Amino acid sequence: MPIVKIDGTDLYYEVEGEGEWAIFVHGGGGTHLSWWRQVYALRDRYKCVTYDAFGSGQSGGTSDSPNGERELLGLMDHLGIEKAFLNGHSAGGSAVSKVSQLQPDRVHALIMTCCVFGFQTAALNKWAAMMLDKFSRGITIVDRVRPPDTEKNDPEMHFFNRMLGRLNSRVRPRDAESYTARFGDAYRTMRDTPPVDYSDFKVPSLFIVGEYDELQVPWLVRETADAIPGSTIVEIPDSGHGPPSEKPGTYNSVIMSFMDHHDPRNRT
Amino acid sequence: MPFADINDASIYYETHGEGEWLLFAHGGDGTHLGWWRQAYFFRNYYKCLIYDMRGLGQSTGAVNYEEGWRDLLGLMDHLEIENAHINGWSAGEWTVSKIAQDHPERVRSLIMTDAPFGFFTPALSKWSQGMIDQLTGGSTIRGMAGGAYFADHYPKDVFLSGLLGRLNEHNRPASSEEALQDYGKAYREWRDAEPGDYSDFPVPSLFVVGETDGLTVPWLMRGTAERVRGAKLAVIPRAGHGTPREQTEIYNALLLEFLQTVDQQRRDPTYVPPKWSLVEYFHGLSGIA
Repeated sequence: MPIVKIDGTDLYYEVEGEGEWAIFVHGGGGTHLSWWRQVYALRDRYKCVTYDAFGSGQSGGTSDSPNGERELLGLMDHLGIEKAFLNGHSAGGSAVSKVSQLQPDRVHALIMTCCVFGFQTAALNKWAAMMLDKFSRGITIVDRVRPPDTEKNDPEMHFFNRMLGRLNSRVRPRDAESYTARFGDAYRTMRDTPPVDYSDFKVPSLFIVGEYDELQVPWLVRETADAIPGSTIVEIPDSGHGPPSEKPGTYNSVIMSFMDHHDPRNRT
Repeated sequence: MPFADINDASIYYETHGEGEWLLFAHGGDGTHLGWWRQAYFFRNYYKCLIYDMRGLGQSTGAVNYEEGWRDLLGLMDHLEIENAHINGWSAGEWTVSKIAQDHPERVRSLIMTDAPFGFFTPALSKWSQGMIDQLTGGSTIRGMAGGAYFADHYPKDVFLSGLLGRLNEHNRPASSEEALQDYGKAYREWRDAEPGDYSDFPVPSLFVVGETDGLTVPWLMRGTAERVRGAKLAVIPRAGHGTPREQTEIYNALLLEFLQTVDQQRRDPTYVPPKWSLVEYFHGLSGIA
């Protein structure tokens, strides 16, 4: 049974494939299944770990006070993972970026998929203020993150992605009011915390942004990448906040190139 | 009727979409159908031309890749195409690179898909000798193509691509002896050719190669692209000698971005593509940036 207790709470995880470790952390409303297309594609060269974050899927706990880095480090210790590739999508970016800052020696390379969470910059201050303003005007975010014509272009994939997205229906905030009630404090902290200096950050990092992402908008990701030395940035055309599921062929090629480039097995 | 009489042969062709012209030359023993996924995608942005090279598919005449440029140029004249983006796949690159080198004013951009044919470099000399050695040793071209990932992950597409690939079965070199007969002369010429000077090459170009391509291997593409002025190189993971069909989504997205950048630069020569574009990203990882 792939369930482990981290800080006394059940965490559901799966391991697929052989090679260097690669850990994928899903975003808000997701589960380990959010990454199925990536695990399918990468398991030929990487030992892929996916898990349900606390409050999601088959894991226990709640996601009200996210400390994603503790779940992630707990799982790495449990599996005896000394060093891994880390990839976080959206809210999952907080866990992977914090582990990269706390224990950089345990990270081959960091991939921030449609997110900058955990990197406290002036851009994040500005973005959080903008989001709080949107919430106060009743604008929900969860339905404004897909590119135009997603449904028309690939109805079957769209249908299936929506089904996966409903796996956490019990806990998912439905409107701006409940979203603000749950995450308002986190946004205020992001707005008010002074920018951190990342000039000593050493982990190779890749920031990925969707062309039409209205949540973690392109300017936020670009300005954050500018503040992280040695980082790389790439924009996925015709994609919104979910390139791993919306444009899996393009997204997989992008992360495989980056991971292979930083794979210690390829260094001669 | 989509046939045109070009240089004593009847050439079958199709056009799809509206906009600037985008021409596709298929690979060895292929047909226009090899590009079906690209025609389907790019017809929303460009006026696409796909055709059967002479002696293949529904076109008459004797197969001749080396002189293929005459037919494509003839088609351009026939259809009154002043200039176009031209994309060659493998053996089709003899055709497109020759037109780009000799008639650059007719070419908006050059895309070299899965091979560098027509550019003479030390890498091509070395590779050509290697091909002669491998074919002499009994290897087959199909065996070198290296599409294992595609075969493992996309069985339905592999099946379809097998069906399409057999449209010229009467002509395909199945054994290493036949391949040496068909291509040996070219390999010997390329092995012995003086390297060309492409430091002033005037046409914007994109070189795309599959990471696991065991035929026209990545080092060959790298050794070519780095000698061509302004060339961009993308090495696509988990693709063999068939990037357009094996990794269609990234291939199309990358190509569209490249074409739109070239068009934008024709309108505004000062335009610089952003560093987060797919083309710049893959070029940055290719090792020649």
